[in-house]
Amino acid sequence: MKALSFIAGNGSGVTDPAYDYTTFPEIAACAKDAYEQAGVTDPANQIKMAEVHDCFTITELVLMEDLGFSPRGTAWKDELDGRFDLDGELPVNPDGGLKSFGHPTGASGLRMIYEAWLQLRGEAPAERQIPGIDHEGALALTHNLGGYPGEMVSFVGIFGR
Amino acid sequence: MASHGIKDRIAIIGMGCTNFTEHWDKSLDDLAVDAANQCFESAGMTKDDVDAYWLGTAQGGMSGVTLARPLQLQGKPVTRVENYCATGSEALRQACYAVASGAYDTAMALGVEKVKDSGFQGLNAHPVPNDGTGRTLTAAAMFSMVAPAYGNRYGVDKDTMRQAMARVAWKNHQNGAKNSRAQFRKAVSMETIINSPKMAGDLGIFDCAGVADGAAAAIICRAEDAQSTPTSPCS
Amino acid sequence: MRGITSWGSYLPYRRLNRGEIAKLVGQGGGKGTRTVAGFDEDPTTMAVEASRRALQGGADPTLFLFATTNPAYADKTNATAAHAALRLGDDVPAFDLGASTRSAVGGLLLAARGSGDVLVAAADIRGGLAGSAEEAMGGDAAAAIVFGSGDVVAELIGSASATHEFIDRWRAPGESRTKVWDDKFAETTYTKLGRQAWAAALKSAGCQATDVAMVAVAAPSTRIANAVGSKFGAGAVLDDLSATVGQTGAAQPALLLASLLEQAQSGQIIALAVLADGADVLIFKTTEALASRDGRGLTVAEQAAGGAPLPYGKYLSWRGTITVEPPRRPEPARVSATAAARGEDWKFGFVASRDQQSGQIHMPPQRVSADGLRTDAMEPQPMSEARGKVITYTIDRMAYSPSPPIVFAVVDFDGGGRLPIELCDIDADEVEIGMPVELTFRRLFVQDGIPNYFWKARPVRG
Repeated sequence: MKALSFIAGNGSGVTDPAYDYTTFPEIAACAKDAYEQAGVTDPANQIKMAEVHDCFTITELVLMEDLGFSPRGTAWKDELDGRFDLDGELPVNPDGGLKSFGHPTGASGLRMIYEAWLQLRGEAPAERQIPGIDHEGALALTHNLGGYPGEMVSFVGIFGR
Repeated sequence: MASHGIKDRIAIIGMGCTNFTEHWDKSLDDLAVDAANQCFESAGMTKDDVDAYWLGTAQGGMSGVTLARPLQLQGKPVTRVENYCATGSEALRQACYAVASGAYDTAMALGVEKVKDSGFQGLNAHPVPNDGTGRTLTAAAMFSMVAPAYGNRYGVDKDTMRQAMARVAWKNHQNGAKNSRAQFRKAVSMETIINSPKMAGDLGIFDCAGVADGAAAAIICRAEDAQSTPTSPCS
Repeated sequence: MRGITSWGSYLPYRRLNRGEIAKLVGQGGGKGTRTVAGFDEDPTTMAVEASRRALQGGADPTLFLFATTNPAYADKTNATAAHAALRLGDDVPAFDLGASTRSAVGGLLLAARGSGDVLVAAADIRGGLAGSAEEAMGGDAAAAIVFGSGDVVAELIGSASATHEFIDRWRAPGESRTKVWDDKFAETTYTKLGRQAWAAALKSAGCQATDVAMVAVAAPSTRIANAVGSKFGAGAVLDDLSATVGQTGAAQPALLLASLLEQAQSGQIIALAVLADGADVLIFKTTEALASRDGRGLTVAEQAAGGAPLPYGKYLSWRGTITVEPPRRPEPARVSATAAARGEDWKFGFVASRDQQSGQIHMPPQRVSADGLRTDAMEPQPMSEARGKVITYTIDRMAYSPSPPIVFAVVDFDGGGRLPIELCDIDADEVEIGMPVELTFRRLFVQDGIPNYFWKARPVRG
């Protein structure tokens, strides 16, 4: 266990014109805290896989920026370029995500960690095992959110061997 | 403000995860028992070996009894936590802190939800009595408002946004097709995703997470104790 | 001098083309259009809209009277919800007048003969069975008139009534269908009563029929209005709006009075005759102040010329004649009476809180400032007259609504404040980022007999 971070937003996004609905500030803050806990300085390169809260496709797109995987305003390009594919530079939701798993609320966060556990131990089925992740020092991230844009809670966990 | 974290102080020594699907024939109790037993087996432990339990369920039941009863835990500290859709992660987080503190040597975090018993689509919050001025939108609608705002801010036209969002669904379905535990195990074409019926804003049915029942669990201990704990590979 | 000091009117946005009725049900309908209250409107919300316009000039009523034949509540007062939405003072009494058309003119007479500034609002939703004359010829509207002593635009110079008990139309409480007796019986009876009241009113005003430039006649039907009005001998009979709006029941007297004021010149004698279970005639002389008075919002004629069509099927579902399959989502819970009472200023008055130090507006009102630094350092910030712009939006096709889909937007208000809020009087394909919107008092849904009143935003239109 490298990091466990949790932040509950104050709901100001739905009442404060400063929020522009293109980011989830609670998640950006939570990721920053998690990276500090884990000593991660370059998440886009140090994190080798991520399970993220893709409740909706647009959510995953924005998460790539809030988690520091893509610079602001560019995640749409990285998604289209296949950077987050299973065989991409930084596989995101290798298990299929909420998209394929559905979202039994209380179970989803642990389901994400389950995939990180399998991948880091090299125990994922061969067809989706990410190469080179089952070794000392590899890091996997899970991200789990609740609520809505402007008023949400965010969890970021970082796991390694 | 400090956030020190507990880096390298906790290890996961066993996990379990049920299939996520429409479990018409399984109750919340069944799912909890299945995930817990997989997890005990994975860690090579029994329920009595685990010192404390955290149950994450958003709407599956109140209090630790919701887990203590189906597992028939005898005299164990069992805590139910809820933190919106991050409830499962929250259960693990609390368990980790309890073990890191030294209060317990081992703990289980178990998350479970029985969503498909409501008869309605999607997740449905239990309404707290209120003055009637709050929003009653679906989560899909709330999140869909990000798409036009994002496109507008970064100058990404509607068609390109549509493509990029569809690519997320396409990728995750590709991955899900390789996972026997997933609710949907079929690749879906970009065309199907883009042309799916609209649910909210520009989000079509394939832009939304599925709705499934499931449970997953982890057993943790302090990192220095992990090597001495027998582990068996997961299936 | 006592008389009318201000007025306002409200016609809902939607129009039913009467020609559509017979196409579906094989009978009824006619020419022209009628106004249709939204699924999220009731007489109380419409009365608020008309009253907001009437109060724009700064009138500060000391009494509020409300009339409708379709009250949302029985037993409980309806005027108090409008009173709260209008943010009238606690010391201003608010009363419902009985649920009949005649109560509306009764309110005008009481206000005209009373003291202080009296706000009289009347609103109605008129309908009937599918294919009926009442459905086709009825209309939905609200109007509000302020009587007082200062800055009078039309002085009441005479009035008279002729009261008579006879059954020309009737409806049992709780029913939607108004039944009618023989038209000729009504016409004959109203002609006699109308002439009687007309003559007495002229006498009390000390003038001749030919001195009256224009008379407006509110009657159960256009036929009766024309038949009686043509016999008065006034300069002109005002158009009763039947071609575009319809007969608006309890709203008709005040609506026609508003229209009359908007068409009259300064120094003219004008009259309102109301035929409902008798006849009541009010004669006014307009003042110089009328010419300098800007309309309160759009005029009746401007509103009658606007609006957007509503398919007949949608009309039938809005009025509950047909039941359409709702989205498969749970219905909302009834409003908590205690929570609503605590939040009265927000829920009804749309009063936010403003941080005295940072100036930030908090919607709904908060005790602790959004920057987390101060507690109980806010002042009330009324927002109902604010305008704003759409920052982002969505169309929710799954959420429960009495008329899905929900069109919803995040609105940033000019001068500060943000609220994610439902839009109304809009088609799903009309909404766009940057669209200017204004606020309107609506009924979100009814659960357990409790109307859930709150505000929505609608596009600012011409």
